[in-house]
Amino acid sequence: MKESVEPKVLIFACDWCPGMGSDRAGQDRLSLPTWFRLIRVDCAAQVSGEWVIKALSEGIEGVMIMGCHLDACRHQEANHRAHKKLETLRWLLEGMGIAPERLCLSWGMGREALPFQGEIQRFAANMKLLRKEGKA
Amino acid sequence: MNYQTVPTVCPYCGVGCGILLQVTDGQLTGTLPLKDHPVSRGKLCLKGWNAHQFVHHPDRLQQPLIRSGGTIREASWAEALDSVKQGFSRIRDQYGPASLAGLASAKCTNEENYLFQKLMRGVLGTNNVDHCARLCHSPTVVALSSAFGSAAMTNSIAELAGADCLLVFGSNTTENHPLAGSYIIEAQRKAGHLIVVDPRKVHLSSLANIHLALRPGTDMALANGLAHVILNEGLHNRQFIEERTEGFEAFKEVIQEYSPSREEEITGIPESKLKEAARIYAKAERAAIVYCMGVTQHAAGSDNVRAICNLALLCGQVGRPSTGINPLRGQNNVQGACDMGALPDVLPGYQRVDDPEVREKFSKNWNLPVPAQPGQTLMEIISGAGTDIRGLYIMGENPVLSDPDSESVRRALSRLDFLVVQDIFLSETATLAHVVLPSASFAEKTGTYTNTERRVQRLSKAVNPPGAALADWEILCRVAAALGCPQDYESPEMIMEEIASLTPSYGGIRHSRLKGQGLQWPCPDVSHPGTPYLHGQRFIRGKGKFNAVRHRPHQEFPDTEYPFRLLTGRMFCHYHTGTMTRKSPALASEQAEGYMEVNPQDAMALSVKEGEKVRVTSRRGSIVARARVTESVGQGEIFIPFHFSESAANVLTQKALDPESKMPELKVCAVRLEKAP
Amino acid sequence: MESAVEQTKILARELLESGRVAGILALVSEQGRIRPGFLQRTEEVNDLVLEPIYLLAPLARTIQTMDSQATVGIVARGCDERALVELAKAGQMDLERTVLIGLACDEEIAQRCGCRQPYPREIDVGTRINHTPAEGSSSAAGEKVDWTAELARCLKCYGCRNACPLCICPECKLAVPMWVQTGVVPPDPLSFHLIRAFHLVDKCVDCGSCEDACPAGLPLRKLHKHLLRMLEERLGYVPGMQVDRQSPLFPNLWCTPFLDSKIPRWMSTLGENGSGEMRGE
Repeated sequence: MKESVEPKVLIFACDWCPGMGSDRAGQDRLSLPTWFRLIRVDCAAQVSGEWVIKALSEGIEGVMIMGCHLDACRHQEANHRAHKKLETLRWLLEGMGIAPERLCLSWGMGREALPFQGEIQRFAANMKLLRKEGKA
Repeated sequence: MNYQTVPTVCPYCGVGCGILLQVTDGQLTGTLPLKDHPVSRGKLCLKGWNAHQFVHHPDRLQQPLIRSGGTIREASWAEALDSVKQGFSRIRDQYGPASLAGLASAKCTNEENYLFQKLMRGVLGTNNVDHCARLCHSPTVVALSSAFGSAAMTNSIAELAGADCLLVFGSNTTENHPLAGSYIIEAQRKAGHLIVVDPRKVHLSSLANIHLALRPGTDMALANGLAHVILNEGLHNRQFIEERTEGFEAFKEVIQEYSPSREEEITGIPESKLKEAARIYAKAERAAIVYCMGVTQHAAGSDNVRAICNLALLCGQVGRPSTGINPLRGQNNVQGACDMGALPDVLPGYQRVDDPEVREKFSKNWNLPVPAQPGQTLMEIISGAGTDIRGLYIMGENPVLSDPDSESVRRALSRLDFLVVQDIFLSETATLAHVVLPSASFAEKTGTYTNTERRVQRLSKAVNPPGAALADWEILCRVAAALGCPQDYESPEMIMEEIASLTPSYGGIRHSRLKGQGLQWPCPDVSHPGTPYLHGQRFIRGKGKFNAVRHRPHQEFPDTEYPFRLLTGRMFCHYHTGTMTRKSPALASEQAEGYMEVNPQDAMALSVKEGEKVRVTSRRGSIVARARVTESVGQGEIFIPFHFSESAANVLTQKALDPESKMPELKVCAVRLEKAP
Repeated sequence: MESAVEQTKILARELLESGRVAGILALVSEQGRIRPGFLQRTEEVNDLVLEPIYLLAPLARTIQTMDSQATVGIVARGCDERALVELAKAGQMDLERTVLIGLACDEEIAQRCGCRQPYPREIDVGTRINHTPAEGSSSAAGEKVDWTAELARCLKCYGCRNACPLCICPECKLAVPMWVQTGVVPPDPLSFHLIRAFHLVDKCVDCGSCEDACPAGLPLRKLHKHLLRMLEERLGYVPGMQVDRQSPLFPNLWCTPFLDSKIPRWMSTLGENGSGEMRGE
């Protein structure tokens, strides 16, 4: 598969905090990296490890999970659980020689339009850097 | 509540892994590996781990069946046996014994195959006995006998791990003989060189140090080309050639014709790669050649194998551990079926039927006459059905799916006056039979299998056969009795004693001696420990023989009408005609239906996308299969595995025969492709 | 002083005669083949052997699943016991109905295996070996593994999954085409092996069955050991060793926070002192 110009990035964003940020970013017409796709979920805890693994195996270079702030999950502690589980997935990536930064867990940053844009741009930039460094 | 683990041997491929069947209250519930097994060492492949799954399938044959008029009905054993007796006797009396034939089973035990050929020869009076070895390694039998004097794998599977060079010709080892592939991988890990010769990109070629992706059917030219480089650069083993071989001069002359540039012309392999591979093989301390269907299933199969044997003789890479010529026999007991004489021209132990002393020995022991005229081979039997051959007894084989040109096989079998099929499922072939006899699976009887490295191993009975099904040896005894020659064996153990008394290489084989590791023949007497590798001091025929051979192209080339080349073969989660694997949930779910592999460029030209249906047509027939678009086949080539009856590769294949071994050219033929709606 | 095998036989006979158990899971050698057996009569104990290493915990589970009333005896090494503990946490084994004959691994086996506790909590046969795994043993964190090259060798036999005592899901995700493409070998390396390791993160007891069952010689244990080390460092959890503690990936962060966590204490209002009161569990 030919490498695309920009790193392909997949974002799972829950409907609540990052959902609001994404809507606002859209309304404000903020510029966002071209190669990202956003999938909305009811809660970030819905995202199971297989989804992330499948994304990476299909050639997506980075997956970001955006959820609510750790003290503000709509579903009580669900985001805590998600964080713990997915953190172990990052350990696994590292153990296999894959850059663990490819899985980014972001809790509560995306509530407003500008932070939302910032999170995504930062992540995309990290992925570009990984490419440059030739890391797996 | 009763729980046990029963050690036995895997019923799938010729590697012969040790397995443990888990039995709970009389039913098989799982398979576990046998940790101290000399070949499988506590590991199994996907098929092995699921060896138990088909045994209790509801489609298992439980009662004899008789077809009269247009209907099939269940019958009692008495009725079925009487029908068999009437059928065969009538034909024998009217047309003579040479109008009867039998296909033995490479899946049944040694004892059963021995009894089968005894029945056909001694009781029915014909040497027309053959089995599916004809379709896989019959060229091996011919060529290895002429080169070394013995038709079997020279070394042992575990020894492959000790080789520092592995030259693998036409074998998709990790998919079709996975546990043999395990040793090849181990050898490569230890910094061994792996050279894979295969027109396709298969799993093993992706792991190889060198992949020689030659044009299909040019293995002989490649082997000769390698020999040319070795001779030219003086890398051959002069001492070995001098002391232990004959025929070198004639061989050398022919090899002169195979310069690297001529070889590149024929095979498509660049000179540089050829030279690299040749040097690695010749300079290796211990180099082993492994080969399989890619070499044998051609009309030049026997000569292909001879060309490979020449390489081993040239470099002295035979007669020591971790070297040799290692054909990977397909079925779990195809080696045994051959050893037991389920072949038209030899009795057990490859003793020739046209030798009066041999016949005398057997007929004295059997108290039955042994016919002198060598019989017909599988392909001849099938094509002669209805004319020369009127009655056929098929045990545990499915020629409709495994033989080339399926339509002609169906027509041929339909022309028979009388067809008896003995099997565990109602296979495609069994549906054409006049009488169907239900038999027991590997888990429901005792006996022995011989794997590809000549290791004779014991089966253990784990569960009872379903309904009225009987072990094949029991059925054969009853058929013999019905035909007026009762056979008094209490157990397969007794049958093996008789075999040992008549077969020198099995002389020391007794069930009681086959503990744990089994025994590798030659095992001439009861104190002999078995033989891991052959031809150590001298070759079985004395000196190893160089057989000079020249490249012969295929019988059917792509042309304007049929522009694609079809390659046939197998895949990892199914086994041969799928009678057992397609009834195993774990295996069937891994791959539920047939497919055809096509190159992305070709797919684009045909407007075919992944998963879409393609019609594949040859001069023999036409099938539809879903496309797998993959780089593993080159442009102008496609690959179809032959496991799936609804998209059967053998509907398309052709019957050109290797003149010596009568092996049909199953590997290659010409087809055309169209997108199907 | 009898050998370990003899001692085990004595204990096994006693246990059978006591009538406490329906049978004892142990290795037996019969006709030159060594296999796990479910010994139900004292004569059968004569064939008992202790090697090779064969994890009997999965068979214990099979038997308890078949017969919900049976008490099962088992000759258990350290790895067996750890597996049983985890299976009990998953509700798959009833440890009240399991009687262990605790077998400590000898020096040679312990060195070769390299697991951290080559003995069960209560040792009936053998002596406790405390050691640090030697360099070169399968546990050495040592050399880096080229996973791309290694996973390319995978034969998709599912042996690692089939042999693992903790791989018990009735519907295994590895066989679901959505996650791992079926009918292809080698399987997509990220899908198959990453999903397997990820699902076992807090369940793997480092018994080595997966690596033993792998025909391609994949160094699977190295991957699991890495995860286990991280699990211990960051969450203080070691599967199989803490009988009364459920996996931290189950309950909530405030119950078992990361050791370097900066979550404020007031979070505990969601549950008394991290008492583990689950909502909706």
